[in-house]
Amino acid sequence: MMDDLTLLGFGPDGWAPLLLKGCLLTLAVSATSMAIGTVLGVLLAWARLKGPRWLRRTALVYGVVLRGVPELLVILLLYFGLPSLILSLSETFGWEAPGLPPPFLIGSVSVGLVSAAYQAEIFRGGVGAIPRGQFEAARAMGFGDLMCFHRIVLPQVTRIVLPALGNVWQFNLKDSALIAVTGLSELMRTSLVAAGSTRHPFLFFGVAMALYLVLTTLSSTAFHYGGRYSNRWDRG
Amino acid sequence: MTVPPPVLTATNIRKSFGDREVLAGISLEAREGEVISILGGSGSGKSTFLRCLNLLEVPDEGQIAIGDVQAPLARNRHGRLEVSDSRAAARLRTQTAMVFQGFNLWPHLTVLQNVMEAPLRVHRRDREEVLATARSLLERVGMASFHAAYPKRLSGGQQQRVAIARALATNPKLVLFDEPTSALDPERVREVLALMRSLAEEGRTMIVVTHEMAFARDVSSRVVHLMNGRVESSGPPAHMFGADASPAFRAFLSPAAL
Repeated sequence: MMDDLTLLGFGPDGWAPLLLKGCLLTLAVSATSMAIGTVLGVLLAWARLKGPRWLRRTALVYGVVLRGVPELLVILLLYFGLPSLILSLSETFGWEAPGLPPPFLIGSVSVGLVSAAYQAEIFRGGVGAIPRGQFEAARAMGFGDLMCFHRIVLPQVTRIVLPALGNVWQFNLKDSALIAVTGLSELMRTSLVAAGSTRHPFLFFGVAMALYLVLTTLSSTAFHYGGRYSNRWDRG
Repeated sequence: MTVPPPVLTATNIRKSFGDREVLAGISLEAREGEVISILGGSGSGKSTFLRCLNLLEVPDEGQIAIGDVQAPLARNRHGRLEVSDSRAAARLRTQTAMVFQGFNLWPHLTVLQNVMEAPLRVHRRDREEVLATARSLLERVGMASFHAAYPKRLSGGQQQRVAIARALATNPKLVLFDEPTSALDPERVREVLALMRSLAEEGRTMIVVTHEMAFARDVSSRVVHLMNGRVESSGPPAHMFGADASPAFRAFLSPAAL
């Protein structure tokens, strides 16, 4: 028992600083991928709703592919596959060989690309749920497209999509564990290393589980209150 | 007496949905201060015609001008009429306002914010001035005490009165009413019609698609009867509701008289 407390403490043999750093890195990589997913998801939803035919098709195929393959595969493809492709290309064309890609960037982009595919569906459904008269009232008063989006669509769509986005965020947070394969020392990777080097797997995986639960519970509470705020005008 | 200038000139408006011709060439001119009631059976094209006037629908043929500014309509390479300049279309719409059958207030904004939104964001007027105008308009439509309420809290009649205040907030040259009382309980219809009558009396230029015969007869300066996408007959109410009205219009009125 003393042993466990030392291992989890802040002392010279304690893993607490590294585990906490892992939590922060997990949060950072999840938030970055969520942001990438939101920006790309909005663009994809716009492409599906308003884009020319070829763009609508492209966005549709994107969604089918990225929602249809394992996330781990996307991470492996971008982190290991892409550099090897670039390497063989650079040998062929005599370019300077690039170094290893940064794990944080590749990790959040991979999870973000998948997140975007799910978020696009949510935004598309959300805009579809706004009655047509809302746009017509704005257009009839001389609103341009951008102002209509900013003042009329965005506030209403936020209320509709926030619960579903909370779900995506939770998936993002958990899927960020897959980035451990790149060696990025987020929470999953740190607990793997700790479990292996101390030979206390139950202790460290148990702690990791508790820490993930803290992160997911705190953030779903935040989404709950965000949802209530964005819903304030709809409570009779 | 000089004739006031035209606020709206619509010439030979045609529109089909698929094979069904809804508007078969309608022309209408509204002069300043006129109140024009458009009557007709369901499917006669009256709402579609009204929605063409502010380009919520793009007509297949015809020309529209607000004041002396032409609506930016041009043929695309397939020969179909379309809005050729969406910013110019938006600018043209800032001269008009519309009141809808389903109110279409913005649910995420309070009553006061709904009224202030367009003059503030679209016309970029001074906030103090917009606020003062909005408050006096809400006073006028009897909704001042609800300024902080969200639309969901209001009855249909109250929502429509706010929607009318919103339409007036930019001081438009022309207000379009698309069956403004059709979605209301009978006792709420009266409060909205009374408000519209007072707008007519102060000289607002209005085009009203309606089923309210009493309003058309007592308030409007001209009544237009649409049938099968055409103007079947039109004239001042005294003529249209008099002894020598067209047989088709009298036939249209007769169920109401029973």
